[in-house]
Amino acid sequence: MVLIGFVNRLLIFALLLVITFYLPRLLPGDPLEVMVASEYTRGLNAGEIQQLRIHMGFEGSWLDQLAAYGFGILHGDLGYSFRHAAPVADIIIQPLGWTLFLILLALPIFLVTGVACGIEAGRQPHGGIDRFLTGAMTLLASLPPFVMAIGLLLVFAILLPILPASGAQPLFPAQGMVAHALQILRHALLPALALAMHEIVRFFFVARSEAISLSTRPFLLNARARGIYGVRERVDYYGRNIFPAIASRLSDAFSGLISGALFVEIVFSYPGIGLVLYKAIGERDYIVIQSTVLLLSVFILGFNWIIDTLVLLHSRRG
Amino acid sequence: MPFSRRALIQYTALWPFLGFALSPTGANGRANRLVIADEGGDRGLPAPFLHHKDGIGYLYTSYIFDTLIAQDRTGKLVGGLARAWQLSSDGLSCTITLRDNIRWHDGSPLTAKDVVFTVAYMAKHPYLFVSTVKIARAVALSANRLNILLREPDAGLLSGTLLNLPILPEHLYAGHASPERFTSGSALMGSGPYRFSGYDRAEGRYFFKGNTDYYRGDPLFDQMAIVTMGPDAALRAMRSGEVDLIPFLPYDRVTQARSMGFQVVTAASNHVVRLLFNNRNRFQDRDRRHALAFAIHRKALIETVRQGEAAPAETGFFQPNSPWGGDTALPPYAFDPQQAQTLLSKSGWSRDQHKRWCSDGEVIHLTLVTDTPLRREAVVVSEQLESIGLSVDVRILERTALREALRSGNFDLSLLSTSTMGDPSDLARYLAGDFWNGDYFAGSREMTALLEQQAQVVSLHQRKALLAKFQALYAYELPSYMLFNPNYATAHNHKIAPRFLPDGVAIGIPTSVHKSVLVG
Repeated sequence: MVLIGFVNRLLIFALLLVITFYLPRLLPGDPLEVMVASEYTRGLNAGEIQQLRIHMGFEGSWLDQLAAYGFGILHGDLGYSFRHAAPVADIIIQPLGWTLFLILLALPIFLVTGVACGIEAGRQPHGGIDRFLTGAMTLLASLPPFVMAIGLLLVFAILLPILPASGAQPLFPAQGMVAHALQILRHALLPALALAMHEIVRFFFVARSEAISLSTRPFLLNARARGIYGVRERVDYYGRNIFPAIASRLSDAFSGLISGALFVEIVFSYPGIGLVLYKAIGERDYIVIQSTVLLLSVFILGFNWIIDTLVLLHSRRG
Repeated sequence: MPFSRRALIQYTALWPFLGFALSPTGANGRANRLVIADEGGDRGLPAPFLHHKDGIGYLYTSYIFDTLIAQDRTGKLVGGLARAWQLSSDGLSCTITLRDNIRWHDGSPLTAKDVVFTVAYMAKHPYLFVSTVKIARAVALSANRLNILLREPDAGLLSGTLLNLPILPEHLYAGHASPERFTSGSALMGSGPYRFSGYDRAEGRYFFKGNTDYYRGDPLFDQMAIVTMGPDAALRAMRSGEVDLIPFLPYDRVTQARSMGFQVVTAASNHVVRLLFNNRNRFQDRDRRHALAFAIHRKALIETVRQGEAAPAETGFFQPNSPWGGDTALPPYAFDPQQAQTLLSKSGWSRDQHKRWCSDGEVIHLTLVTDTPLRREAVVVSEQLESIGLSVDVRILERTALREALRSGNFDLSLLSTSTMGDPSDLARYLAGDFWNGDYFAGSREMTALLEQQAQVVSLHQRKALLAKFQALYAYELPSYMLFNPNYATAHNHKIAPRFLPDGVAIGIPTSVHKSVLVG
C-alpha cells in the first residue's frame, strides 16, 4: 500500500510536470516579449531577437523544450531564469524557506487552537461553550483569508503598532543570533496568525464532530464516572481518538496553506514563494512558474504521502 | 568554481548587516550611510547583463558602472570616464581621451582597451538598453585615447550611446561567452562611485560601499542601502530614522510627508499619460482625433484623479524643459464640446434620435483599453466622452493582454503612460515602428522623414530644428493626445539634495537620485 501510494504520487508528479510546462505557455505573451517591453529598452533587430530566444531556451518546438526541461529536472536542474539572470534554484530556495517557516509557525497555532476548541465544544454538544465557539468559528469561516490578513495588519501593525507591518526581518537586524532570531519570529507572527486563522476553523469542525460522536461512547462515560476530567480526559481520551481524523485532514491542509500563503505574503510583503510566483506569472517567467509549482507539488505530494503512511501504520496498529 | 561564487553572492545577504553594524559611526552615533526605500522590490543584480530590464535596474547598475559621457546635477552632458571627445565633421568618427589614473573597483587601471573591448563585446552580446549597431569598431590609439568609427552618422552618439553605454572591465568579462550567466562578484566590478557590497534577492535589498578612489569626487556615503518598502512603511521608517529617502513618493502621500516635516522635491515627470487613438482603424481620420481632444476636459480630469498633482501636457511629444522640443506654441485643444461635435459630423459620423453617434446607421461603441494603474483616469475619460454622445466601453486588462490588444489593433482608444525623455534617436520606432506602447501611426510621411533625418544629422542645432518641426506636426496630427504630465515626488531628510533632470537620467529615467547627487 505504501509503495502504491508512492507510485501514484510519482505519476501525478509526471502529469504535473507536463501541465505546469504547458499552462503558462497558453497565457498571452512570452518571457522575451515581456522582458523587452520596458519603454527604456531599445528596438532589437530580428537577428538579436533570435539570438536572445536561443539563449533563453526557446528554440525548437514546445515538445523539444519540454524534453529539455524534463531532462534537466531528472538531473536536478530546475533551469535558468533570464529575467533574473540566475538559476531558478537560487531564486526560489530562499523564499521557499520563508514560506515553509510561516507554515511551520502556523501549524501549531491552528492545530492546538482548532483541536482544543473543537474538543471543548464537542465534549458538551449544544452547551454554552459549544454554542459560543461554534458561533465564533462560523463567523471566522465567513471571512476570506486576505480580509483576515488585512484586519490583523490594521489592528496590530497600524492602529496598535506592536508588531511589524511588513518584511521578514528589520532593515538592520540585531547583531546577536538570539536577538536576530527573535526579530524574525516577531515579523512572522502576524502573517503566521493570518495563515493559521482559516485552518483553525477547519480543524475546529473536524475535532468537534469527532468529539461529539466520542462523547456518547461508553468508554468515555465510564472514564467520567471514574472521575477522569481535565487535561487527561481531553488529551488521552479525546485527543488520541481524534488523531487519525486530524492527521488525514492535515494531509490535504498543506496545499490550502500554500495557496493561503500567497495572499498573506502579498498583504504583509513577506518575501515568500507566493510573491515570487505572483511576480513570475505577471512577467511570464515560464521557467520560474514551472519550477516553483513543481517544487511545491513535490512538497505537497511528499507531505501527503508521509501523513497517509502514518495514518495507515496507525490504523494497522489498531 | 562557478557554484561557490554564485552562492557567495546569493548568501551574502547577512554580510551587509554585519558590515553596517561594525562600521565606524559618525558624530550622531550612526554610520555615514544612506538608506533609500523603493517600492519596486528586486531589480536583479546591478550589472549590465544581469539587472532587470527596466529603468530602475539600469539606474542601480549606473551607481557601479560608469560611462564615457556623464550628466552633471542639472542634466548637462559632462565628461565621465572620457576627459574630452572630438567628433569628425562627417560624423563618422569620434576621438575620445580618457581621464588619467582611473581604476576599476579591484584596483586595475581602466584603459582605452577596456572601451574597445566593451564595444566589441556589446556587439556580440546585445545589451537591451544601448545599441552599438551604428558603431563599426573602436580602435585604441594609446592607453588613454581611442577612436570610435561609425558605419553612418549617429546624431545620438553623445547623448545616447556614449552616455548610456556602461564600460566593462576586459580583464573580468573577456572569455565569458554568456554574460547573462556570469553572476560572480567579478561581474559586479565597475568604476563608478559606489561598489557592490551585498544583495538579498528575496527581500529586494541592495548594499553598496562608497568608492574612495572615485575620480569625480568623494562619494557622500560610506555605505548605501536600497530596501524594498511600501510608501506608508517607508514614511514610518523615515520618521524613526531608518530610511533617509523615498525616491518615488506617490502623489497622494505628498501632503502627509510634508506634514511629517520631511522635504519633498517635486517636478513634472515628463512621463505623460496619453490617449492613444487606433490610427490603423476608426481614428485614421484626423478630424476624429481632434474631436476627441476637444471633448476631453483635461483640467477636470487632473483635479478628479490626481488632486492637482499634474499639469495639462504639451500636445506635442516633448514636454516643457525638454532639450528637444523647441519653443513653438502648440494647439492646446481647450475643452470645447461644440467643436468636438462639429468635427465628428465633418468626419462622417451622425447622431440618431437618442443623440448617440452612429456610423452608417450603426451606433458606435468605442473600446477603451488600459491597465490597472490608469483605471480611474479611464473611467473619467469615458464619462467625458459619453457626455457628448459617444458610447465607450472601458476594459481594464492585465499588462500582457494590453500589449496584445494594442499590437493586434483590437481597441479604439487606449490610456497609456509614456516616457518622453532620453535621446530621441529611436523615436521613429515609437511613432510608427514595432514598439507595443507606440502610436502605430503611418499617417504622415513628413513626420517619419523628420525622425529619420534627426537620427543622422551631425549638427546639434540642425537636429533640434528638425525635432521642433516634428513636435509641431505631432501636436497637429495628434497620433496620441497627451493628456497630463504627472508630478513625481521624492521625500528626503536633507542627507542629499535629490533633483529631477529635465531629460531624465541617461536613457530617460525619471528619477531624482542620479549618481551625481550621491557624490560630493
